[in-house]
Amino acid sequence: MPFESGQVPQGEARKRIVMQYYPYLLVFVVFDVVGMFLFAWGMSFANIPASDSFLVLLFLILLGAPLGYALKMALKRENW
Amino acid sequence: MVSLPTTPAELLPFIIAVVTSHTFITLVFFPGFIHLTIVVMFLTWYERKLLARIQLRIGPLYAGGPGGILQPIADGVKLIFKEVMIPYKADKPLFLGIPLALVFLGALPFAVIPFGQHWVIANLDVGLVFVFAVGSLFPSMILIFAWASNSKYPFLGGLRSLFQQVAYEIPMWISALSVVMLAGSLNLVQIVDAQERIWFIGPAFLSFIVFFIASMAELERLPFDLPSAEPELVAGWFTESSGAIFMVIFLALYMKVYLMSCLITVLFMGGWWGPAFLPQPIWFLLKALVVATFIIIPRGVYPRLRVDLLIKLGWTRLLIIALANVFITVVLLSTGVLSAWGL
Amino acid sequence: MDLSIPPDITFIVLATITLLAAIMALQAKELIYGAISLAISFIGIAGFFVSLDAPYLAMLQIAVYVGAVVVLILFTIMLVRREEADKDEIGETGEGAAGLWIAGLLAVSIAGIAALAGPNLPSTPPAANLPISQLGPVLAGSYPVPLIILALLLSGALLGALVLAKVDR
Repeated sequence: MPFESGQVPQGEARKRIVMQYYPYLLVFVVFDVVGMFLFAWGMSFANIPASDSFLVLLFLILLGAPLGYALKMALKRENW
Repeated sequence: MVSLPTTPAELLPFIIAVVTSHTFITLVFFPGFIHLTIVVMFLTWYERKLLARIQLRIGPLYAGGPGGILQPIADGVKLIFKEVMIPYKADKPLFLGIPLALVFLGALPFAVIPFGQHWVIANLDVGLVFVFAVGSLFPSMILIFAWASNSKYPFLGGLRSLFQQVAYEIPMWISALSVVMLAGSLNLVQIVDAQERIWFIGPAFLSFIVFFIASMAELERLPFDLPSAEPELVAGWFTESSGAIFMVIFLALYMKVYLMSCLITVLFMGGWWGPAFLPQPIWFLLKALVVATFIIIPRGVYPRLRVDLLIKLGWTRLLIIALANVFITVVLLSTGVLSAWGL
Repeated sequence: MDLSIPPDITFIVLATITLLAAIMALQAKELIYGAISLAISFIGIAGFFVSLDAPYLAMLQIAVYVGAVVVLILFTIMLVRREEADKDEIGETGEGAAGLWIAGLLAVSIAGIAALAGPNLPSTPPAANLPISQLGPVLAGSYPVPLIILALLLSGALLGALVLAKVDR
């Protein structure tokens, strides 16, 4: 017990989880998938016609609005 | 193609074929086990000496040889002999097993990093994504280890570490996306090959900055040190580890430092390319050492960042800069500005 | 060095790991062990993808499932208080026997289908004809509408999860 100055630790350990940053986990799960799709696109960027790249950029932009909203909601701490 | 031996007569030729194969030699010697252990031990010594010079002192001096070069071995011997204390009601198999898993996963991405044109253990076509996939396993293992320690402070530190590392994964991936677009491949050997005439730090400079900051946050080094904040949380998620367990975790952390330095060298600083008077792996090691120096120096210079500011920094500012660089790269590649350098 | 391992051995080893891990994930007393076994079974599935010549999908599986979904599952497990998790009423309602019965029916029907198909079953998986460099062009070029629907679906999932997890104080 290096902390608590050598006294016997009190209280149940693993008591509570900090839920303050939970929305960031949700954003991470979604953008994990998005990131992997973007790698597939980025690999072949030089070889595909511009309309396909524009489609993937549209895909990104469509996800930008929920991302902004999620990050803004994550800042309001009383929600969690 | 070598096939598995089915009769005892085939056993000896099989063993000879395995031992003399390129995979085995690279696995054991050069970018493999022996090189990795030596470099990671050297890196611990190097950090202590470097920080000492920044802080106007000398650092390890007495442990044999010039300038205390055997200090890591002395540390290892000391830590092996220390008592391993397992907390009351801690989860024993997890507490003992996860540090080993951390070292294993820290060493695994080295299988795809190329130290020279042919000095790579496994030339995977999905090399970069393999490194990121393995890297995404760290936060969950740290969380389990912190939970298995059955104490409040490590658990809190483990949660903070989880959120911090998760927050910086996506900016890291998006900034690596710019590099993938410039190189046109996920294969790390091809990414370095594409940097023959220009290092990607030029066209993708914003990505380099984002990747550098994000990797320092992934490694939990100052100024992103709060999960292992030494005066505040004692040692964060590895508070309860002592002796051999601490040594294993310590090794895993420095292996990750070396991994990130090598990754930055491969992605942004031209890998093994350099004037031909030195062999290619030496250039790679020199560049990786320079990057490691720049990762170590902020530890002696900057104050610590508060955890919520840190997480917000990762999600908002860095992500926007990385996405901006992706758009800049799209523009650069479409207008053919970089064709002079073969991109 | 190209080591040629007979595909049967690969399949048997991977299937054993995946199925054992999945069974342990359901039967584990400590929920954290269950989550770790689930992660191992996901890695086993990623191994299957590799053996079927789809390495990119294997990496996606590891990064998304083992990297993100398992973290969420661990979070949920840690939120549950200990006394609610230690119930030991599992195993008394005859579900073991029911499971064996269903598994037996499934095995008999698969064996029957295989016998009816006769000699037309392939014994090795077909070679992949989509190299990784073609993955991007196929994704963006041949499937534009599913890509946009995917964006909307992911947005909906994200916003829905946030709204559900929100606490109104």
